[in-house]
Amino acid sequence: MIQYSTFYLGDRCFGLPILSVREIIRSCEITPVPLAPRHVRGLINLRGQIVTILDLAVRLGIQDRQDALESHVVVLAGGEPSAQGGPGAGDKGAQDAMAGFLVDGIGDVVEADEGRAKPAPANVSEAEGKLLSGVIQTDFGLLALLDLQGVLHGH
Amino acid sequence: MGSLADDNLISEFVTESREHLGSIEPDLLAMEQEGKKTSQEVINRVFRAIHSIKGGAGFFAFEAVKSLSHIMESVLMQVRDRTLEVTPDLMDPLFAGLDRLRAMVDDIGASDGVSFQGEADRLKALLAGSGAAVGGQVKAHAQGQPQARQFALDADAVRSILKRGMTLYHAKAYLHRDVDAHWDSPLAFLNNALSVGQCLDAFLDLSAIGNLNDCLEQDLCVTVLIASVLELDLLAHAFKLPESQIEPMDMKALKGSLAPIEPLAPAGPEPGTTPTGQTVLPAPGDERAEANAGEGAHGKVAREAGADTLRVRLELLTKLMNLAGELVLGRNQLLRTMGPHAQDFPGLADILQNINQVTTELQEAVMQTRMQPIGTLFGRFPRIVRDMSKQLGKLIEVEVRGAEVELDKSIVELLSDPLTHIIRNCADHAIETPEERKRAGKNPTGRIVLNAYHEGGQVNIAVEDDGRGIDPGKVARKAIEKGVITAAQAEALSDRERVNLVFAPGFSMAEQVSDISGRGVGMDVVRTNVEKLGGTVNLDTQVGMGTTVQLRLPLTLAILPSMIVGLQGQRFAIPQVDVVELVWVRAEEVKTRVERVQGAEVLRLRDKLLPLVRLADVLEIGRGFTQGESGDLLPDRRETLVDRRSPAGAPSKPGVEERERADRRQSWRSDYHVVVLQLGSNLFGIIVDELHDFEEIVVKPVSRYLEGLSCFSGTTILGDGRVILILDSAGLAAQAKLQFSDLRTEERIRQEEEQRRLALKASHRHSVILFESGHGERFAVAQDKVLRLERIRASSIERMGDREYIEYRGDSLPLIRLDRHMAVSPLGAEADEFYLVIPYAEAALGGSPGGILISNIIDALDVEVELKPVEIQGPGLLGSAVLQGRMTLFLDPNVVAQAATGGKQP
Repeated sequence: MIQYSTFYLGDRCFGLPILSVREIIRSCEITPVPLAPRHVRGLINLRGQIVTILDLAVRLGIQDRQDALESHVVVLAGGEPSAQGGPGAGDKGAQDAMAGFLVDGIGDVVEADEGRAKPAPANVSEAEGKLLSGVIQTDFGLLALLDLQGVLHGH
Repeated sequence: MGSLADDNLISEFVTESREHLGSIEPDLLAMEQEGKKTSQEVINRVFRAIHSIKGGAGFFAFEAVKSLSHIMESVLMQVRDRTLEVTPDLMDPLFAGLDRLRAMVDDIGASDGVSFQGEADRLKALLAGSGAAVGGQVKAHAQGQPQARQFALDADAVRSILKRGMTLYHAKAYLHRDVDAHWDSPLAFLNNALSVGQCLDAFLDLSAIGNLNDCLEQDLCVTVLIASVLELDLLAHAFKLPESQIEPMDMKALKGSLAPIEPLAPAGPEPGTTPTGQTVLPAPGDERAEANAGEGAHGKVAREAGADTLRVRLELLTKLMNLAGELVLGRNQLLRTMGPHAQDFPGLADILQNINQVTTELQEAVMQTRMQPIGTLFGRFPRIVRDMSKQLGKLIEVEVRGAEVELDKSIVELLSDPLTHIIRNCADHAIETPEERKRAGKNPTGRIVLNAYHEGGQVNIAVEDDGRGIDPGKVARKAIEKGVITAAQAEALSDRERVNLVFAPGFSMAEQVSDISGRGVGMDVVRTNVEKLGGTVNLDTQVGMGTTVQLRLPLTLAILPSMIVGLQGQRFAIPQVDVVELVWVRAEEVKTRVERVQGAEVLRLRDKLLPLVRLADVLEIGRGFTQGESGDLLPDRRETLVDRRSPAGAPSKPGVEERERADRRQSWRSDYHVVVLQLGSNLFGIIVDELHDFEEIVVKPVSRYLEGLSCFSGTTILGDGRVILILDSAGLAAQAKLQFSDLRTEERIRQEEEQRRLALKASHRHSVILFESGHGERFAVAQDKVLRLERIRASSIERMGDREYIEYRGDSLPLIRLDRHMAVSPLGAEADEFYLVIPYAEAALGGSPGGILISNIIDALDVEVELKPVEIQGPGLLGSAVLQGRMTLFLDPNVVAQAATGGKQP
């Protein structure tokens, strides 16, 4: 049994193991990055660190979604060691590239047994299905567990 | 082995060994230069350095390093003791040994597996030549040792010690009790030991643990066999060991045991006897020199122990630098926020000022910690050039200047490859063979000068050679051959541009790919690497005379002075080093200054044509303009910059539209702000909406989720907390698919046009003769209409009726006074000298029609004037103009003369 941090995209509920979440903040000013892939919403300044904000809905292929009035950002823990930005980018090659997801609402912390996770149901889109590691029935409804590595780095 | 095998200690050993190896190389080079005249000091230095490496290697049981350094040490010992002379043959094996040692130290863990047989054999051959054998062993035992331990000592070393009157001591140091208690590390202890004498062996004495006491203490013991001129008590003091732990060995016994064991040693137990049978007594000077050297070294250690340097991990310094950068940003934010309110709180202004000051100084100081003198880089090159010149059969001398110029450590490291490539190129291609040089009248020894200096806020590094220079023709041909450009394109290039072709990817001047300068890796990689550091590379060359390669670099990486620009409400940073100038094209000027060449928009800037790109297009952000009065940002539907008349599908009502359009044209907000960027030797302009400040920003790398976006070279946080992207000019140019070659052609065409036009204009210049008539009135006549100028005396004027004549070349020449034919002043009657302007007349008219009387000739000039019509009437008056600040009447003298004489000849 591990604890999951849950959040909503529309009325769909998703979860991530709580240890992979660094913090959750209200959405703030996001600097868009021209020419970036569609799922990259932009960059924010989190107390002096630059965090790349990914649009989870785009990543999951969820269509017809408007940004909620009050969005939140789920900032992920750790982050991978970034590729060298080149020496001209300053000697911070070892700085972690921090990332976060833009979500609509935040749910409670839920305890669930990942062993009891079932594969995603058939009515989930193929793209989305690939990025989920399973679904769990909880007291609060169906919780879709995200495959974090796949979401961040897969295609 | 307990604490001896500690990784930290080993890496300390590696670092120190590297330093020793680094110091040996220039000394070996000096030895090679000076040969027999090499000073004892240099030889001693090399010897001590190798000795230290050997000692440390023994300590950590790196057998291969120990063995190889031992052999080198033996050779050097012979040199030091004057039994071997410094000859060229001596140096190559030493260099080879040095290189092998370096390789071993670089991968110390694997060093035991490295073969050094070749180098060892060569070195041994040197020793064999001098009659001494390496590896001869002498047995000795320490007096008073309960276990009567036997050691195997090197015969040459023993001989050397005896010659210099040293005593061999057996010293025991307990790791915990003695070493840790008094020294920073075992290595420090060992180094100290090496500085007070010669260490013959050092090892962990496992046999000593047989003692019950030691077992209980669990303290390991290190034994050092050290030869020194110092007395026991002094030695104990130097080692910080109790005297009871140091035993002098039996020197007489040692002497005795030398003779029988040495196979090649001369018969006879005399110490210091050379194979030739001569007894070489240690020269008193030598002994003293060695003793002095020993003490000198001791003194040096003493100084070093108190020296003000500290080894710090690079990681820590980098962290410090990042933190300092963040602090700078925080300070900026603080000042921005609190600045306006400083007066509201008593004492706040002072506090803010203080924080400001301290932060600035802190940042500067931290930056300093990472500065390294470029000499560390330059230091490698003399050796590289020496090796190459031997290999290529050339004579090359290297001079290094400005080695103390400091750069950020990471820049120094990243410069290593490009500089090495440049130097190799120099030695390989630029410097000619001695014969070629002699033929060309040059000194057969070529010269390479490495020069580092500060200029214009940047660091300059110049590599200058006096070789054969770069031939633009050859380069162009090579480039065509390699398919870098076509013959037609090559035609259009200037010499300077042809020389710069060496920077093109895929170019290499090597006829065969020589091992020496690499597989045509080329100057394009050099340039790319230098540009990545925010620097530039330039070539200056003269055929037959030499070449200078010049690198310019920013002083530091992490903080970048940048220009902040605004586009569609977003902000971007452009590194100042990329910005050449800012151009403000006013709304009215746009039509005239912006043109289209080959379908792309260009700006005419003085004599250059700059390709223009709209940043909004490159970044695919919606194009917009600011509405004149309201200041609203509206989408821009114009297709081209100059198309201001038909915004397709404009909103709003017809009447309003008209007014809006007019307003827009005039409003200052429709001006275009162009930032001119440089990319190598090309320039281009990007159009932005607004220009903001210059700010110093801390560069952070581009997030890995944004990899592959070539337009951005990093990200940063502005003083107000906003995240913005840093633009990369190369990336922008690539994204905009800019073509520079077409523009070059266009520029050339225009230049030629201009030249033709000027030539044409030149032909409208008049050459005139300027003269004075009555009352200083001025006249000018075209020079080619004048046959002669003559000076006459008033007395020679003859009169007939109301006409005047003068005898001229056997004929009578009628004289003409201007005031008789036009409304000008008469000539002064008192003058007794006049000048004549005799017009050139067509031969058909037969001789000159006459001579015009004038009072003075002023000058002959080339003028370019536009003649204005004159009010007075008269024949031959062409017009007037202002010459030399005076109103001047232009005459056609022929017409005047014709009119005056009525065309009739007397």
